[in-house]
Amino acid sequence: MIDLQPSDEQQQIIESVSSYLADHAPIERLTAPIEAVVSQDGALRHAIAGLGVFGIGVAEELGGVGYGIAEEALVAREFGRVLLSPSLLMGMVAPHVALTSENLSLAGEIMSGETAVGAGACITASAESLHGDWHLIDSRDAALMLLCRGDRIGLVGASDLAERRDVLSMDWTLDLERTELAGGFVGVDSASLCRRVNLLVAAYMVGAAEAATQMSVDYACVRHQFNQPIGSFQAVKHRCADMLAASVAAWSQTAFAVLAHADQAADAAYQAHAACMTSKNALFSNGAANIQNHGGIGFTGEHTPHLFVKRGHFMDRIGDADLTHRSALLGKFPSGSHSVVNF
Amino acid sequence: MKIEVTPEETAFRAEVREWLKSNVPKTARPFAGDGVRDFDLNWQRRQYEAGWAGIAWPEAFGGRGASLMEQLIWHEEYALAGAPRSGCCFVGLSHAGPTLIACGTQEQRQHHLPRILKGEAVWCQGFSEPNSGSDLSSLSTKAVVDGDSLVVNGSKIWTSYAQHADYQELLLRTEPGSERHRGLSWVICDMSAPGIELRPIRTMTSAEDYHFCQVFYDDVRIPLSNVVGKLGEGWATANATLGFERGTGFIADQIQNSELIEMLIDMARNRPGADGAGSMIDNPSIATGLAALRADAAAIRSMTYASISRAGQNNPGPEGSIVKLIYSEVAQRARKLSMDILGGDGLETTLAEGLVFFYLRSFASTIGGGTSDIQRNLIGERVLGLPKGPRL
Repeated sequence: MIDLQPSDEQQQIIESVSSYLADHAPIERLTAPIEAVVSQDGALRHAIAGLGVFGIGVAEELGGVGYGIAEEALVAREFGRVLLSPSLLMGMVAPHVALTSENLSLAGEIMSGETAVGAGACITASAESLHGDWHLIDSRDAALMLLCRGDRIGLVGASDLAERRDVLSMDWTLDLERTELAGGFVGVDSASLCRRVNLLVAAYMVGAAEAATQMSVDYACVRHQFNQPIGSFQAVKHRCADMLAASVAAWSQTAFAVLAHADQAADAAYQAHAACMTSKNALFSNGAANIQNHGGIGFTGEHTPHLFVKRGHFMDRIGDADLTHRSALLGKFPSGSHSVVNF
Repeated sequence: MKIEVTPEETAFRAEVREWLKSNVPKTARPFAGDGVRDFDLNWQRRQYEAGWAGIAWPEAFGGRGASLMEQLIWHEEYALAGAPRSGCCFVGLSHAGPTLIACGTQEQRQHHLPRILKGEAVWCQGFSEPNSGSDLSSLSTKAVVDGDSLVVNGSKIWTSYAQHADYQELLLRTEPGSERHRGLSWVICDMSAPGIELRPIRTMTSAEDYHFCQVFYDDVRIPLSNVVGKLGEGWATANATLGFERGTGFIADQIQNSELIEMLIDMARNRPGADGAGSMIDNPSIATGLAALRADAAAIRSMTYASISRAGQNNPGPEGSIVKLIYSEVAQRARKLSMDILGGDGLETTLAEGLVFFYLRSFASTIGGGTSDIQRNLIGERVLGLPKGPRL
């Protein structure tokens, strides 16, 4: 049997995370005047750790909650809906990385929220060593940065990074630095953990694509022109329908890829590349459509639609980029054999 | 969220695979012409004799009574075995039959259901009219009661396989002066009845392809006992089978589309590039297009799985429109890309094993079975709850 719907237990996890985020990290927090301090999401770290989120996919005997990547993906999707800081998303992967070197105490500190993790986004770096140029997103207070490139992943200490400098972020709600990892630390080789990053990024992007859809639908019901809600016009209605279709396709594929990963299915890598492509496509196209549906308002920096497009670009740099998925999906896999589940 | 394969499902898959392997017709289905009817009925009869006919029909009505998961497996294996589409048996198996099961009388069921399953009767659909396409409930072909008969006058159009059909499911306005979905009746029409005339319509796919017909009715008499459901309540009858197979009937098409994409990848690797050097797949725009198609095909399959999961928990909803919308546009993109890969050979219909024929036919995929524009309206209004557009 194939069941891509969340179980009752999973539904409870979704509800507890989403209700916390609705209270403490509503999307409107990102429309505060730009003089306000950016990246306040870091302040939520302890509380989110208290929900058990950072250890949700870690085995109980290793100090985690004992669920798996499916539950992590469901949480990531909720993070995406409110465009929560990517560094908090990496907090779910970081304990797994710490455990590759059997560093239980570090994993425990990350899960408890005691140690903050930053999110690295690759500019140009070697997939053999991680050495190269990186962006750091919302990482100012982080002791460790999660870097992931190709099949290589690692938690690099802040002191190992040279020439950290502030740069102006395209998304002004995210704090951005530029740095270089020049030598020393090389991370570990783990296709499985890198795929975990990619899948959680995909789930996050689906959540954002879904939120953009809902935002457009809500607006199309209240905004009136020509004496009727603009959602009654097919031009707008059809754009909204396409947004939903893109989100549904992306979530279905992400959920399926997550299960394939958990089951260590033979086609897990293939399914993950497809999930990443469909979710990136959903966020980029829904982000653009959401701006269009909001008209002039969508173009302003005073409302949130522009942030979905920008977040798409940031998330695209964490783990494998869209271009990488495309060439992998064609280059690495021979024809055939991907049309049926491996029964 | 989970994927678990039971031993029963594995065994069922093996059984299906084995049977298909030795029974799928060796000869290709004719694209068009009179051979179509015999070919489709023979294949249906073969399935019936082995107990596979009506895979989704309840056992009480002679069907296989397969679970959703078994239907999924059947259709997956069916497509992988390269089995021919149900063709002119489609309306009987997937629409008229299920409607009779849901709303028919004992006599109607006893007469028609076995004939559909055994491959003895071909059905066609008579819903659309020249002036009632997307706006179906505006239909005006009318029937008046005269004694124990209905007398029908008017015209239906886009009737696939009408020239091969024995029966037609006919949606008629039986209450004079009624409007919209009120006063309609769903009626079984014998295609050999006097007063029926067919005008085959040539399609854009080839000069020989007369896939559908316009059907004219001139005082055609149909016994009142052929009304399915209540007289005047045909709209309810027509809607009784919506979501009957919950999207599983669609899986074979999706898999054939995936197979097409794989075939195109091989073709792009093997055909020389446009300038004679390298191969077609070295062209980044073709490579990107193929990768995107692979991802989309994977997503469509996952969406179908998700809709089956949902069906297990709730009634199927209008979400089927989402799969249809995406599938038809992805299928069109795949066909368009096949023309890019074919290059100059694409100008000749006879080359490349029907690729050109199917490319041309793909223009229908965003029109037939509810246009993509109508699907978007349904998604917008019934799924997203957006305000309805103007209704006249």
